[in-house]
Amino acid sequence: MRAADPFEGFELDLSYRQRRDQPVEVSLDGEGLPDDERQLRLLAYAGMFDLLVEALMEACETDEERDGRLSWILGKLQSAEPIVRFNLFENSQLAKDLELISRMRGKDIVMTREWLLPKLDRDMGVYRRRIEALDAALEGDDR
Amino acid sequence: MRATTRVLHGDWERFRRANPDTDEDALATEIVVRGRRRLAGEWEEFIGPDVSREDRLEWLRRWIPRLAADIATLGFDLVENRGRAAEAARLEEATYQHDIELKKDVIPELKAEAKTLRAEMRRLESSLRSRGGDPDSIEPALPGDTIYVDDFEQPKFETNESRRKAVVEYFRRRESHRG
Repeated sequence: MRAADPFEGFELDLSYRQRRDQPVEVSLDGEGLPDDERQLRLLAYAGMFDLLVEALMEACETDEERDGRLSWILGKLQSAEPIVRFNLFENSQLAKDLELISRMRGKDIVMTREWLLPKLDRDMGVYRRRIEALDAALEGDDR
Repeated sequence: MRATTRVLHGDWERFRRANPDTDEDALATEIVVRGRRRLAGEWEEFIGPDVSREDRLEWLRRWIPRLAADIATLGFDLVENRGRAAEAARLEEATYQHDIELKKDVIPELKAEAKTLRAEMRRLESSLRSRGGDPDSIEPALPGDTIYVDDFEQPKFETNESRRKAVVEYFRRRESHRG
């Protein structure tokens, strides 16, 4: 290599479950850019990786070296792809399940707080007043 | 036309290290031109084993940016989604604690109190009836929609100690049967 390898340590970048870096904003300039942020991101990443691969091609001294390095990257990408897809599916499912549980439980909590507790309170008010009235009736009998 | 999107910081850092001298405006245009070129056309996921090195290199040159962009976009979603899953887990834990607090501390106490009051009310009604009185004439009358609590029992929540006692008791009984 006659220059630094732009893909040095790239395999770590593909361990998305371990990554802790935050998103950064990237400006794009061109006609008819997509409105959807995800499509814009794909476009940005495709452009960024195109420039990175070009830098790698220039950094390598021979075609053999280029082939070896690009094949290594391809292997890492092919290994990572199903894992990333599965993790994404698993995480989305987990988040959806937890959100559903929270929503259902939240509904129960609201029902308890807004209906059951006030209802029990009202019932006990009636019981107390009726006990007083029954007591009074029994005392009246005693007299 | 200018627009912004978000990528992971580490990905952007790697990219900037490889392009340290290009200013942001030039990159904003160049990324779009390159990205469109790589995403256009048919996807060629595979190449035959017998192609020349030149053709293979050309294919790798076209295919890797496209595949890497696809995976990086999924990876971005995964990292973002992790935040959503963590927030969902936090919310689930909070609602669980709130729910258990209501079921363990608040509701049983109220139901037990209601049960005691109802028992007292029934006792007085019976007493009045035994003296020839008519409890139905006493106001306030009992509404028909009161919550039924007469057979309410305090819920038994398992603790480590109660589980330990149950296990000890189980083995003690088993031993005594053998003996």
